[in-house]
Amino acid sequence: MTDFGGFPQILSLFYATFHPTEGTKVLYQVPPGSVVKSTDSSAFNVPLFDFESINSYIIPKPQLCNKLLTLRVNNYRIVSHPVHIWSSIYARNSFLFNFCFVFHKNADVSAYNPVVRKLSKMFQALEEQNKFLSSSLVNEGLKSIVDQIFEDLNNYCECYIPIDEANRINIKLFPLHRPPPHIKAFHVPISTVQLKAVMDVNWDPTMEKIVEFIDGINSVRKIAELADTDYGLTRKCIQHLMYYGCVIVVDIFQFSNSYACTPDISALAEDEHIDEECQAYVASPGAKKRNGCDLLELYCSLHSGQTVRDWYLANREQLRGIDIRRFISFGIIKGIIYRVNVFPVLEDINASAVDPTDKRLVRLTNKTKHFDDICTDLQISREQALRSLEKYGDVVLVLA
Amino acid sequence: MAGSARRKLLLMGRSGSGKSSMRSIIFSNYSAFDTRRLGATIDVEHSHLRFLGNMTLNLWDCGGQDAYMDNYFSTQRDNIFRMVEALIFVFDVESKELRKDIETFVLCLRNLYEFSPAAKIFALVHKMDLVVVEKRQDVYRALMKSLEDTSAMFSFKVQGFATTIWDESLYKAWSSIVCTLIPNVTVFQRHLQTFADISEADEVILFEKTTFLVISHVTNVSSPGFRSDSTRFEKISNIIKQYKQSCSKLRAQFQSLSLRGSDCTAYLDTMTANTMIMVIMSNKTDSRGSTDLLGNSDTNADGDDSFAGEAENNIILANIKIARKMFEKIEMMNPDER
Repeated sequence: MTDFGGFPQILSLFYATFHPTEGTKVLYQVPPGSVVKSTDSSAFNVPLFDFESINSYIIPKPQLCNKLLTLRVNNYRIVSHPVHIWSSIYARNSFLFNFCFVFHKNADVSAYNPVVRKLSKMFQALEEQNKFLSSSLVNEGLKSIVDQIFEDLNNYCECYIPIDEANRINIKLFPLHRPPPHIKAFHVPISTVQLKAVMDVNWDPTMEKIVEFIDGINSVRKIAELADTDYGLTRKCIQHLMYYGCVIVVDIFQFSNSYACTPDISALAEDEHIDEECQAYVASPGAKKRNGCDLLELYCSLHSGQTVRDWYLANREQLRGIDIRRFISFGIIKGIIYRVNVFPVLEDINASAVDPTDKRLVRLTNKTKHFDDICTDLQISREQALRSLEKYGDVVLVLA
Repeated sequence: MAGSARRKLLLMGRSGSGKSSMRSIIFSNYSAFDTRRLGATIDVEHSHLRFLGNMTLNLWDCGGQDAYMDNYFSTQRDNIFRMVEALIFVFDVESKELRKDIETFVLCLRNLYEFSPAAKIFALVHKMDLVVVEKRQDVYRALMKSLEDTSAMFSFKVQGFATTIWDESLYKAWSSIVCTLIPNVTVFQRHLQTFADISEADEVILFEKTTFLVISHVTNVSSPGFRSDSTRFEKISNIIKQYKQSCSKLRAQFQSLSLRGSDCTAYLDTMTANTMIMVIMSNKTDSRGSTDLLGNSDTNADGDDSFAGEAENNIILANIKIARKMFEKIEMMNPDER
């Protein structure tokens, strides 16, 4: 699972409205006294911030209404969605209200934005249907709803409150991740969770078919082939799994690949957890765990001029009891080594002199794609590709 | 352009007293009926209005809810009360807490005394249509007495008006207020007098084009038995403005107007880009027959009458055209010139 530190706590939740003669006022707040002074015995001595200084932003001018509005005041961040309902049934032709969530200024509130929006829209609908909010100035029902949302979201990250036969509040907090990167056909997904265990009958049929082929060896293209599913759908499924942190994606493992260290190699030396994890992961079944120093030395011996095969031959002794594929995978996943790709570049070629069968191949080299990409696309081996290209002139191999 | 004069006007009063309604009628072409659909003013609404060529009115329509008032007199004090040219305080004649309203007024004066001691003070006793006609004078005078006394405590002189959006009194108040702010209003007066004398007009009125507030007027009354309605200027403002609005509803742009009555004729035409002029001439020709509004004589009268009217029309228009350049210059004058 991606590093998720948990949802930030709601420090205060309050409901404010615009009174025709009094102006902006806070009707309900939880915990008591957090926003405006309260006579409650358990109230805060001093509110979290000065409400008067920001009241024009809690019930703002019409241009700022009906949108998500976030503001910073002192050490706090307030996420709100002020609502402005125009109708001649109200005094002064409008009804304005706002449910506001108060967090610490550094909190990551992205998971709450859709919640605040949804809550506001729901109360707007309730108000328009049966004047739920404006019908009485003291609304015990609303007070307990505010209290309950505060408690439930903070304690359980979800909240279910039935309001009447037709309406209910149903909120769940979801972490907002970054959109998943593009996946290429030659990428190899490795699962980080027991996919079969979390799967249930409600999952997508394509997903169900491909899960058993996600083994850290098959590329996306291969998986689609083996599972007999559409390539586009397979790719989308893998992207979804990536979004939720269930798989990570690496290159196809081949002995002809080259790898080299990244600056993060120091993490292996400094961080004990990574060290232990490495030792456990790379050991061949049945073999003894290797020393952390040995592993570090082996990683450092990888460099771009050498294929894995050559490197293996050179270090055969030290590599006893180590699963090479897992060794390389671990390095890639942790970002301590990187794959050196080979880009074939054809120096001047005569376009008309190209054989029709090779036309596609030649076009691909012009687009600066590396061998993995080209070979997966055309489903040929690297030697084949190289031989075909050499027919047309000098091929320069760029390593990056 | 020579330094444009910026005039900050504070429009304050209890919530729901009618401030935004007034503003939209005078400055935004709302009809009195349209103001029903206005919402409450949130915090302060700022409007910048070009008035004539050399003046900008910066109108601060301050929401009157308690929460805002508290702000104005505490954290926002110097922002609100600094550099104020005029305070226009609106009293709702139906207010249940008149004492509190007067206290708020005093608070305004106190702050103005500190931040803008040269500010002009105006009090509008508004919604007079809700008071029975017989009581109106008394209600007005009673309130004004208190206000005059309190203003005197701060060496301010307060000028009062009884107003309602349902008649021309609103125009009277705002014309008077705005005129005190026009930097070179005496120059307008002087030149308008000259124009009236040369044109041999009975009365000449200069209006601002968009708001139709009266900038200046000159009366050269010589005819005996001349009985004038002292509220005629604001009535004209009100009527012509509504007429303009009706025209625009029909997608027609109001340009000029010419009215012939039995004993006088009125011409209303554009003077400059920002002003319109109304010229009232008593009919010199002694028409035997009756003339209707369009200047058509009935068949019994001399055919000469309508011709004379036509000629007179042209002379007035020519006069206006010649005077235009002069008035344009006055408008663009540096506000400090007199």
